[in-house]
Amino acid sequence: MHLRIPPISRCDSRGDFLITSIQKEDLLRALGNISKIIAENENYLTELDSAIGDGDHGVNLRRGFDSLNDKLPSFKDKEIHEILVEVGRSLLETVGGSVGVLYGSAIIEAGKAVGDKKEISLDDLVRMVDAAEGAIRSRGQVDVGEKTMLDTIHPFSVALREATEENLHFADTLDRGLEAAKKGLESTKQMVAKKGRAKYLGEKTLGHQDVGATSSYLMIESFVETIKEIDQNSS
Amino acid sequence: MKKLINDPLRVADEEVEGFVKAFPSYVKKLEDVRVVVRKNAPVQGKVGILVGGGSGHEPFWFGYTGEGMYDAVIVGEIFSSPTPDAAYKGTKAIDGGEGVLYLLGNYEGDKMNLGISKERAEAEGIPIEIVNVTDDVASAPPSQAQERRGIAGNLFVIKVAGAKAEQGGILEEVKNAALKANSNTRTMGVALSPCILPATGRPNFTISEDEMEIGMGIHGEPGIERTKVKSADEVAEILTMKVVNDLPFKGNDEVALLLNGLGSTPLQELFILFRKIEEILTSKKIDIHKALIGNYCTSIDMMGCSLSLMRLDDELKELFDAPADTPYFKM
Repeated sequence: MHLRIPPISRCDSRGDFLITSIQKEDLLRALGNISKIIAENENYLTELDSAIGDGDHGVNLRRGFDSLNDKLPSFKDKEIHEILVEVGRSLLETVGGSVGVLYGSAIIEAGKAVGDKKEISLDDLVRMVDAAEGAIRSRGQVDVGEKTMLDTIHPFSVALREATEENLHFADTLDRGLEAAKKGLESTKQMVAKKGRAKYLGEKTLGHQDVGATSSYLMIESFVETIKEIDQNSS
Repeated sequence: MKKLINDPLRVADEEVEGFVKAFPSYVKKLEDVRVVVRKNAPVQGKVGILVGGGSGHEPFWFGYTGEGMYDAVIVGEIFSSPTPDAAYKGTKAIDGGEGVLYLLGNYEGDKMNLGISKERAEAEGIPIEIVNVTDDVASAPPSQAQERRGIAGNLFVIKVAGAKAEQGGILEEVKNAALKANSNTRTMGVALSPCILPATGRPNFTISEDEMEIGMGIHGEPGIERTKVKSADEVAEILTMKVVNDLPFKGNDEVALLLNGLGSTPLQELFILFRKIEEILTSKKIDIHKALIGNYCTSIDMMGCSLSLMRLDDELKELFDAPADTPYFKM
């Protein structure tokens, strides 16, 4: 069963009825929704991975997120950073392969970046995504343009930071990020794989969308939609 | 697909359960993690040897757990690296006070996951060294030998390092023995069919009925050439020459030989291949010290084989010949 926490109505301190931060409950709901999206897309991810990889991305991620989803109810009394560290550890231990390490490490570092905050502001989110990106770069020894999850996550990170500097509303900032992530995802079709088992196929990987960039996009999209749904319900 | 399994997602769990039940005098399983260790682990005063990788290569990896080989095996999902926590628990379970050597196949996922385990173990004062086996000559040119994948030749590296550890070598000596075995070992494979992954029920690549692929990796990584299926003698010649020319092996060299089946190629065909391989090596005055022929490192149900040679000097020969007693490898 996938966790479904009903939307909560609330307004910010200025009474604008628009969210300015992500609460713990929102985060848990987003994680539940991401688990559901991964399960729904297992076969799609398997297909993408079978084309130029070893075909286990969908199965491994699903196993990890199903397991995470079962644990989410037990996280409700934890602090935000504790939740993220637990989520990261859970993925590290249940996904396996490179993917488990990369997503697990990324989320653990995002948790460390948020510190003891009780809610996640846009500035916090920018730091968290930046920390997650750093974890993927260092663990995976990977750079932008190598046809990996970084090609979705890096543009997302850059767009979030730029939008924050423009003082856009939370939901609009996320939209900017999502748009950039989508472009990043699509750009992987024009890349030659330099990492993972796909790298052995070299030029033959041209035209194929990277599966790691795809699962990253699915997660980001689900996260953004969850937050926007909360935003709409609160206004 | 036809497979004798229960739940495709529990294949790795259930095969390990069965293996441990079959060999209780050799091995035990750690609780909560898919880690198999030798029965008497930790062996005090001995360097621990830990191997890890995805399942699907039986009897690799877990079949060689025991005396003279390795102390722990961390079993991943099929073709997928094991997790850091399992590797860390395996490390703790075999630490006899002299440190632990990780022998890996040079795959990114294994290096990342076991790298985290190494960091955790070292933080607790357990010295860890890592040797990545790189025997597959098809996976990168000689100029990028450090990029090569580890495949069946891993058995030689394990054998040599395991013997060194059993004889009381310190961590650095065991590591150096492993590095020496690795630098003298070369492997070349050929695939005639894909394998069917239990979780997806599908072949991991496509190849025509009348084709074979030289140099394909043990997870279906592309090789160097796809051709019409050739005769056993022709395949024997291709594999032997690719291996011999890479190191290169020369006249008067003495070698250990492993002719390895990938799962669905019968021993019958391996012997036909060996007949020719022996003839070629003899004509080159390369002396086969010992030949191992059989399914040592498979790719589930792939059809095909690989040939590995390790050049021996006195030290490697002595370590290769040293006693070993494990469920699927005895010397």
